[in-house]
Amino acid sequence: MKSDRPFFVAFAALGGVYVLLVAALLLADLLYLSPSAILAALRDPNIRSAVWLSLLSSSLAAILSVWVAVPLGYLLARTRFPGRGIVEFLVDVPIVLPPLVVGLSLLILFQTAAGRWVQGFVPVTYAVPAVVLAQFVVSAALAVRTVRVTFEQRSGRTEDVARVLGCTRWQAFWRVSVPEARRGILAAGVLAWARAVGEFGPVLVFAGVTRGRTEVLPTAVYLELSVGNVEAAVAIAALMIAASAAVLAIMRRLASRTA
Amino acid sequence: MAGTGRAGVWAVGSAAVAVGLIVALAVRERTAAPTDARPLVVYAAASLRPAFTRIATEYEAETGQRVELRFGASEEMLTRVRLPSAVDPGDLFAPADESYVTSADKLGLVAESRPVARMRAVLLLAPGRMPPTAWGDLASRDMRVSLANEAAAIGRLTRQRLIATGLWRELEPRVRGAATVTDSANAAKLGAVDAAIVWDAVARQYPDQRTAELPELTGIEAEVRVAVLRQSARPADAERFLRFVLDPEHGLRHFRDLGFRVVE
Repeated sequence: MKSDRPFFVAFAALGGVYVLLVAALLLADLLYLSPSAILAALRDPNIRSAVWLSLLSSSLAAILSVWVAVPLGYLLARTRFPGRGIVEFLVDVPIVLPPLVVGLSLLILFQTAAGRWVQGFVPVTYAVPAVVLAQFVVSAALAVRTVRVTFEQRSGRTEDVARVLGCTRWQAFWRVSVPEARRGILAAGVLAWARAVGEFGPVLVFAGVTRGRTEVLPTAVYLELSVGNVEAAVAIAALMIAASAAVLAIMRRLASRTA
Repeated sequence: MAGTGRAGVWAVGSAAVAVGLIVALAVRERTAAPTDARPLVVYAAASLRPAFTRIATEYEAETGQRVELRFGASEEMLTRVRLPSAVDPGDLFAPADESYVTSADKLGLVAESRPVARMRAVLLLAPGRMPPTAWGDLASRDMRVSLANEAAAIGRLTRQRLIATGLWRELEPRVRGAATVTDSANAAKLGAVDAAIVWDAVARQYPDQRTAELPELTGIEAEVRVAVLRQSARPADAERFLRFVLDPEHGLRHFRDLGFRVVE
């Protein structure tokens, strides 16, 4: 039997290029970073506010994304219905559209009669709901794709067996399908959260950047860059990476326990 | 959770967390934006943030009236002004240069506008680079020069001027395009290019880098203008804030302190 070594070396070399590139990006940021800029960023109440808003809004957007992704992903994976192709297309639109266009489209939507009616009850544009909605629109699309693929990879046979044994459709879904797809659902949540926390274009256009109110970490980076404060921008980016790493580590731990 | 098993517990748990997050965001929103009275809404270019933050703080302290500054790129601010919200209209518009005010005015969106400062084009050098002594040095030293695209006033006016004087053909191969004037300046700061053609007011935000005032760039000038918007629900208050910005002892003082050549 021939050695597997060349196979693994070739794969590690190809994959390693990307891993090295990302590591180099982080290293370059780290080398550019000054401790004083990090301290200044941590002391700035606007940046602290942006950190909290980023964490809260992206967590909410991720949960809402999963709530939408599970039923929609399930229906797309398991059923055939009229207009299915259109639904598939619509779900992919937020991924394909340039982020700024997503924000602009949301802005236009809330200028329509229906949008104005909603805003009569809850102010959305340039307020916190706009931040969550902008993050949700894109991250939900990614979550739907992930959950759908997860359900597609399962044959649905165990679900059928459960029904033959007397389970209702609801019971089979909750007791068989969801537990079987839990890894994919968690992955969808993690992906949605990661996308939401880094969302910039739609948030910038739809929620604006009002310091201490609708400013999230990516828009804080943008504000600092716009006055040439590259050091502060990199410091905020470092905070963003640290916060994201902490949340992703918690989610992974949660996922491994569930698995 | 009869009939749903452990998955149901997770579902209810996630819903409870979502409700908790909504409550936390609502509390935060109420603290950040008290609902006592609607603030004056100013759409300001992100590059003018230092000046407007100081002015708004002083104005709030003197008048007790709240000012909400909404920052962004000038072209994106113009889009927002074009799509006014019936429940949340803007009161003032302060883009990075006058071209956006002109565009808004053509669309019938401006009630009144006033110049605040003038800017002229200069060459901002990357850290450690020596300023060129003559235009020809750009070519002889094989310098890469960043310039904003034509959507930004600096990009459009510089191209127009250099085409008129016959110098554009010489510069064009060295130009590295950027989306905005601050993107150009940041490219120079990071050393991605050797120099950037930027406004003098922008160059002053980069104190560690040298600038050069080349005669070939003379005449490339623009103004910073502040406009009161027709959509303003409180035009008298918007007018009052504009006067405050134009006051040499208040708004103009902050612009001057930040290195702008103010219009008295």
